[in-house]
Amino acid sequence: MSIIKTLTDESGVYDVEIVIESDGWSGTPLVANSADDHFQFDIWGEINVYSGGYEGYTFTCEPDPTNYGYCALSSGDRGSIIGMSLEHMGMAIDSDSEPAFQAVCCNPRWSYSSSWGAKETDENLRIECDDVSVHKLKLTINDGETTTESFYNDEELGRYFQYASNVGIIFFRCRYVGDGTAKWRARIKTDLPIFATDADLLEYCQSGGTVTDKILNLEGDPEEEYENQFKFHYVKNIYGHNTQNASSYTGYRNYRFYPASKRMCFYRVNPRENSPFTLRLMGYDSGVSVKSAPVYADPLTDDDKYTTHSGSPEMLYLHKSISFGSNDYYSKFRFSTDLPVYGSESQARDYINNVIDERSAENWNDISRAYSETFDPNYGDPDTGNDNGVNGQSYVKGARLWVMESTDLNAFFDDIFNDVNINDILSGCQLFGQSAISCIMGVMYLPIDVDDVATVYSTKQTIKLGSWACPTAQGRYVQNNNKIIECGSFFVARVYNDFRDYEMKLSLDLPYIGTIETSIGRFLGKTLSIKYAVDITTGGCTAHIYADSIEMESYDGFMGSVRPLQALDQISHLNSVMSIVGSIGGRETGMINTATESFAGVATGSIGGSSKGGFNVPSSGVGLGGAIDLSAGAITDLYSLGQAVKDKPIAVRGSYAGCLGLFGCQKIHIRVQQPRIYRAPNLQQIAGFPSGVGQRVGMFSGFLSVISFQMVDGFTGTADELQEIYGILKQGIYI
Amino acid sequence: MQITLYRNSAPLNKLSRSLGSALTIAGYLREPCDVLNPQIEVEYNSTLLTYNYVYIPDFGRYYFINDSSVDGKKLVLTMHVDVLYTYKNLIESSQCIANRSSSHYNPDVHDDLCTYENGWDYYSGVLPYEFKASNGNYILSVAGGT
Repeated sequence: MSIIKTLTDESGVYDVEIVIESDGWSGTPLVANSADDHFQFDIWGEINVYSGGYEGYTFTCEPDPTNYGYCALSSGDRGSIIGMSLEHMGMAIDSDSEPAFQAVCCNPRWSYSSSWGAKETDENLRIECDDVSVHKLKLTINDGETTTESFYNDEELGRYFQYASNVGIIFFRCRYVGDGTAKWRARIKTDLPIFATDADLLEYCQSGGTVTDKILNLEGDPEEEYENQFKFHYVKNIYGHNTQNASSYTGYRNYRFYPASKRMCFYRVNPRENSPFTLRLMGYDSGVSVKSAPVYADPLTDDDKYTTHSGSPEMLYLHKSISFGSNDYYSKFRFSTDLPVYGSESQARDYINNVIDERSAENWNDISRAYSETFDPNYGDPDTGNDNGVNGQSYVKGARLWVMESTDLNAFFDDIFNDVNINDILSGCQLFGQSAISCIMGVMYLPIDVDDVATVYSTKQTIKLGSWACPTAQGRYVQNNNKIIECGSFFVARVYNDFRDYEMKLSLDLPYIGTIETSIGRFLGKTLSIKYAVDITTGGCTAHIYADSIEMESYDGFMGSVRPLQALDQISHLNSVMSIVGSIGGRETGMINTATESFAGVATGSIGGSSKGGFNVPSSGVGLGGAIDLSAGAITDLYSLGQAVKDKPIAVRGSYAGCLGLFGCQKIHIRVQQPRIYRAPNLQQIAGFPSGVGQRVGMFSGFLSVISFQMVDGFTGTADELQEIYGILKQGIYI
Repeated sequence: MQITLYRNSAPLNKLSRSLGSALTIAGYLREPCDVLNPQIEVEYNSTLLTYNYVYIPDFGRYYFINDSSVDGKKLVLTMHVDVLYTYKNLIESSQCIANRSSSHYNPDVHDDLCTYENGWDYYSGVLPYEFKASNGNYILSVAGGT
């Protein structure tokens, strides 16, 4: 949440910008039920004052790290719904001692009437700091010559800071003389809902916390949506603060590409330093010509959220020009968007024409994550995922599959091994060969409830072998092998929200398939789900692995445990087991052999080399050196071996065979291995993060080191100076 | 020539400078002069030793004072040009491709300045479906049947 407020006093409108950022409200109304209930409000940030006479003064305000601000209600406020109003937040910019505005960080102590906010009691809604003596804010004044830090009142150079000692109000006063600008950038971290006006807070409190549409730091809706080949982009949390009712400006607006277009962006018409500046939205008109439009912000309604703008781009406004008499009236807005914002029309045009990409946008850091986590719907048809087929084969006649319990199977073999039945069996099976056993194509054990993977006739029927009906054996026959097992899902959360997430490794224990290691990058920030398909004719199985319903990988295994009925079956079965075990063993043997050879190389090479060096004329002329070289080679092999082991913190294995899968895990286990990566907390400040962004040097702040640099025309220095500049920029500078 | 002395408190590799109050005095250039590394003689005054930064209007450049040596009643200032502050505006207007940045960065790019410690942390979970080997079924496949 962030807003911009324009401050005025009796002498006119001052160009003071106040930006408040919040981590967002949890969404649950907070009710104070005891004097011990605490609600968090941390505030930190900085105040920059710029004027013609000074390059800039910085007031840095941060909480006392050991005693940051907690608020508690007084005992008379129990049952109160509480929130925070920013109506009286501001900064003094006049030349007198009294501030024109006060910064109010929690419910101020001003006179709420008994009807305000108190839902269950008639007590006043009032918040007081429980122990103001520890709520000291540190103030750092740096005017370029001296740095002064204080934990309480401080007067110096015509500016002073005061922490109110008896109420939950924090003042930032700045006596300021002259033309220029002042900017207050504060960050509020709170579990309280924040409102722009006292009236909005009052409405919320009186509703018992149910009227939430005026909450500025309310997170959530709307999300990006996809429909057909369109892609929506959002411009949300539009907030304008002016003499009108600010709440009417709060809303969302989603845009989407034209069918033939791939790109759309904002650009600033005039420099950021000119306030207010105008944003224009640029995109293709039906893929033919580039057009742009001013941005308006009519009072937005719910109907605007997902409006289909199929007409001309001129409909895509965010800027509002309202006539008040003969004067145009401009509003200030602040909003978040996943559309790139460029500083000039030429840059925007370059983007539309694919000359530059989103990384050059001023708001790249804000939009990069949204881009990285979404699929570009322009590639092929929209993928809604989950298009597994169904095995529609019927197993009713000709060759039947019978689902049996062990007692049924015993009864079956009792029937066919009974001498009394032998002639009838031979008669009934003569169509299929010389013996009754030729009619039996296989017996297999499946370690699942077959009803999970197949449609099975509900009641037991008499089993027929050929045309011979078993006297006693019964089973349920399979109608269709048409089901797939949904094993469950889990969300693969990002931990660091940076590259370290991609350093993690993800492994899955897949029953009857094995342990596999997969790329976690495919699943980060998505829901991983797994489905099993089982072929009941062969016992084969396939695990389908999805990321947000999009199938990413599949692995095959063998689930059926075949019971050999003839010697031929046994040999075949044994061969299959040996084949798989052999392949696993071969892998390990290969590693062992490789290692052995490496060690052998060390031994042989050392001894041989030394021997040659000592007793023979060395053919290579290196003697002992040859031995050292061989050792180095072996060390390299060992290092590689060690690296290979280190890179695979979980051992992986292939498929199971025979009954071995029955001894393996019977549930899908997920393991995430997280490397221990330490990043110094001040790394961003002193050495920055990897960038790759290309733009003017002046657009960066803090630390900057460059890959390449192109001096602008007009440089009159020497070649040595230019070389030195480039060298320094490569090493890194602070801006 | 006239030179203006400052006290610079900003690090050498900072683009902008925090210059305190200025002191303009007369100095004499030692010749031959390298514009990028000039030596200037001024009348000795112990106060001058507290200054570390110079602007030479004739050269249009700012300089760091690398060395101050006393030679009788003279103070010899050995300087090196401050290319960052001298060409600050041009540098700010110039295009670059950032290698590392505090303000514009891509968090998903691998960062070599992070340290890998030995070992791994493991997290595990399990999906709810269970293949119940003990509750399985036999599948008998036979020819025939109607």
